[in-house]
Order: sequence, then C-alpha cells, then structure tokens
Amino acid sequence: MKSEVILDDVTLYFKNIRAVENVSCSLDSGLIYGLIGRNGAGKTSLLSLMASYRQPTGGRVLIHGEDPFENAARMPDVHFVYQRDLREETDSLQDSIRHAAKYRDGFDTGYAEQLIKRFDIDPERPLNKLSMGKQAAAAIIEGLASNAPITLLDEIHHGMDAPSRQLFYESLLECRERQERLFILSTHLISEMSFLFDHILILDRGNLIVNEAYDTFVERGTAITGESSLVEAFVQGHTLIGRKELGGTLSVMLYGTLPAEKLEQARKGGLETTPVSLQELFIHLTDRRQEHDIN
Amino acid sequence: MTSISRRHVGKIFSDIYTLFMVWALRGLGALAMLFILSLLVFESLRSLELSILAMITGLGNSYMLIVGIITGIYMIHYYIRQGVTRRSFFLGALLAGTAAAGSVQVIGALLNLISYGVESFLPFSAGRQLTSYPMGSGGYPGVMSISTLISTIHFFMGWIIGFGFYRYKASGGAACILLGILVLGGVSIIWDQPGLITVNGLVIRFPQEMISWGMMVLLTCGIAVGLIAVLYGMIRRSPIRVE
Repeated sequence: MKSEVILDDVTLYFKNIRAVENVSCSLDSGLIYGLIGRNGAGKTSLLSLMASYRQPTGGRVLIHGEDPFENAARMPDVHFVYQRDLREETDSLQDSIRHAAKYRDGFDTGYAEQLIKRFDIDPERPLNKLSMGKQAAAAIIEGLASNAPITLLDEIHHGMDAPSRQLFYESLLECRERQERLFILSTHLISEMSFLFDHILILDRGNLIVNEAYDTFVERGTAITGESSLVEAFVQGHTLIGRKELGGTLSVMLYGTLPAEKLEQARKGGLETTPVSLQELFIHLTDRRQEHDIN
Repeated sequence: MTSISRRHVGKIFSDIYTLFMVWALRGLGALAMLFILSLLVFESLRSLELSILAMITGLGNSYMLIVGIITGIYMIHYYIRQGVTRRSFFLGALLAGTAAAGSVQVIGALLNLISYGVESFLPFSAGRQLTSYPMGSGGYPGVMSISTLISTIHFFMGWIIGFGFYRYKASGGAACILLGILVLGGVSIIWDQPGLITVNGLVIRFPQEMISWGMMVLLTCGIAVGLIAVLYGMIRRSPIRVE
C-alpha cells in the first residue's frame, strides 16, 4: 500500500474564519476512509483542498508526491463528487457520462451503463428533471465509473431512499474489489455507513482529532454498566465520555483502550462491558457541552 | 510540473466552439426566417437597403457578450470537476471564443454575398456598404478582421463580467459591469460607433483626424490584451465553489 494523499500541516482560512487548521495525515490506496464531523467542521473544505478546488492558506497537499493544484498530471487523479445544484442542468446522464469519458482517461463507460441499470435511471432524461435521489445516484455513477485513483464522495447520498443507499454501498464495495482506489466518504449517516469504513478521520472545528483504523478506534470506547458504586470505583482515573444513571444502575462510557486483564476484572466484579459504537464515540468526542482531553 | 494539458485544451476548444456555433447558427436561422417572413408581411421593409454583414457585426457583438457571460458563470466549474486545470480551461475557452467571433463574421460575409445573389428573387435590396467603421474600403478581409477583434473584446468583457459574479459575487460582478461599460464604450469611441457613453445625448467621437487607422487597430489590440491579462489574473488561482 502506498500513500496516495499526504496532508502536511494544512490550514485553510476564509478571510478570518478558520475552516481547516494544521491538518496532517497520509492516506493510503485501497482503503475507504470515513470522514466525519459536525456541520461546519471543515469536511467539505478539506476535500476541496484535495480536489484542487482551493489552495491551502498554509501547509502542503500532495497527491502521488506532487502538489496537485494546477498540475495537469495530478488533477485528473482526483474526482470530487458532491451534490450539485442541477436546476439548470439540461444535459442528460448519458451526456454527462459521455463528457466525463472524454476528459477522464480511465473512465469506464461500460461500468457506468451497468450502474445506470442498477440504479434504474433513465439515461436520456435531463438531469434537472430527475428526482433528488436519482440526481444523487447519477453523481455516484459518474464518480464510481471514473476510476479516479482518489474518489471523494461528499454527503452524496442525500435524498436517496434506503434501497438506493444500499445499492450505493454495494457498488462502492464492488468498485474497491475491481480496482485499488482510495475513497473518502464524508457523511452524517454514521451508524448506517460505518461498516464501509476501513479508517476513520474525525474533524472538529477544523482540527483532525481522530485518524485511526476503524477497528482500533472503536476499541477505544467501552461502556461499563453496573451498580453505581462499583462502576464509580472501577472508572477512577479513566477518561469518561458519557454517563447515564437510572436508579442505582450507572452506565459510563470510557475513552481509551482497556487492557484485557482490566476488562476481565470488570466482568469478575459483576460489571457489564460492551463496545461503544462509532456514532456514540463521535457524538461524545465532538460534544460542545463537555470539552474532553483526548490522549 | 506542467499546468497546461494540450489534449484538454484541444477538447475544451472543440466543445466550446461547437456549442457557440450551434447556438449562433440556431439564432441566425431563426433570425433569417423572421426576416423573410417580415419582408412578406411588411411592405415598408422591402424598400430598405440592408447590409447583412453590417447587421451581423452588430448582432455578433451582443451575441459574443452574452456567451462570454455564460462562459464566466457556468463553465469553469464544469471543467475543473473533470480534472482540467484552470489554465487549460482558460486557453481552450479563449481560443474557442476568438474562433467563434471570427466564424460569425465569416458566416456574415457569406450571407452578405448570398444576399447579392438573391436580391433579384426576394423583395429587398442588399446594402453595398460593408461597415460603418471609419476605415475606408477595407474590403471583406479588413472589415471581418476588425469586426472579429471587436467581437472578441465583447466576448472577453462578457467573460470578465460573468466570472466577476461567479468569483466575487454581486459587488464584484457590479464592478465588472462598470468596467465593461468603460471598455466597450471606449472601443465604440475609437471606432466611431454609436456607443455606450454619451454626454447629454451626444455620442462622444474620437477626433478621427488625429489618429491613424493603424493606431486604432493597435489601441484595440491593446485593450484586448489588457482584458486577457485581467481574465487570466482572475482565473489562474480562483477557488471553485462547492454548492
């Protein structure tokens, strides 16, 4: 696996507003990254920088080792897919596919046609006459069939119904099987989409606060439930990210990997230990009401 | 690192040029039909002496201004999404607009020649004066070259106005419109055309005896180069909106 994208201390300001601050990470091919963050956390701004839609205010973005901005060899490596305003778009999906194939060398028109059938879209209907869900599917088809080594999908599933979203997830996994590509999936549907993620990136107010493999990250959260006094004693010295009390029962969420012997000790002490979901971890890590010190 | 892909420039040129010419031909077709129908309906029109080339020159300027605005507002985003650099887009669109401005003049000249042939069949008189530019009898090549240059300036100005709105929103767009009035007004003064800038209803005229034809061409070329520089400055590092 090689690093396709390197962000080195990347910062982006819009006049005096900080959108992205000192973000550093390297992203590898063959993985699906889940980019999550609250509204206004800087997800779209970060993706815009990778797609050369903007230049960073500070730091460097490297695609295959080169600055992609205005680099004719690197810009086609990235395909940025997001929900566009298509109210004035009279071209059909067929026109759109033909146009993309003209400019993107690796574009797979045959696969695009397969996806059009799968998503049940009329390819000759103008894009502005399609429903919102079908418009989203049209954008997904273009993104997946582009075969771009780096494909950025920003909140693209809005408006899609559950069966269409399921088709999207299956197609995304199929694409990853067909060819080694890097996908970044920005979403608010964390619970529904978490099974797709190999790696998690969490942005909070422009800062990258989590950059970890999915499995490693979700192991960082453990819920301990039991009699209040026992739980209180057990969690002493740990970082707490959530707490619920009902009668004499207390449930506490801990942040930080617990060693196996510590978990065993909890079970032996009559406490229940359960994993914390990605969504729960995300909610607590980005909760404005309680600022956490995450080590 | 190269920021211009010749392959992309060629494709952008071909895409945009084709689009502009399809629109132009559709517009001209509709205009020709309307004109012929009007000749049949309105008797008073039959006594008019009409120079097709002069008419298309005027219409061509407005047309190029409009397609320039469309280029500025809608096109850059479309191409960047496909991995095209801003510079490749700029060059492709610049060449396409210039070629389209020239092609409109060629079509105008051809229609003008055709009008001489058909005036005996149709109830109208083809005008013999090719232009109202103060350039004597430049003939078709002279008239078409100057008209292409002026039409191209209209395209650049439209592009600047459209892109002004795209990049700098309403205030930037308004500033570009003001620049447009000044530039296009200046061009019309140089070429002694009924211009955008008047004082108390009087058209401002450049003292023609003080300026040679060559100087007028040079001044106009200078304006065109200045507009290209402004456009390049606006586009070369422009952020692309995600919306």
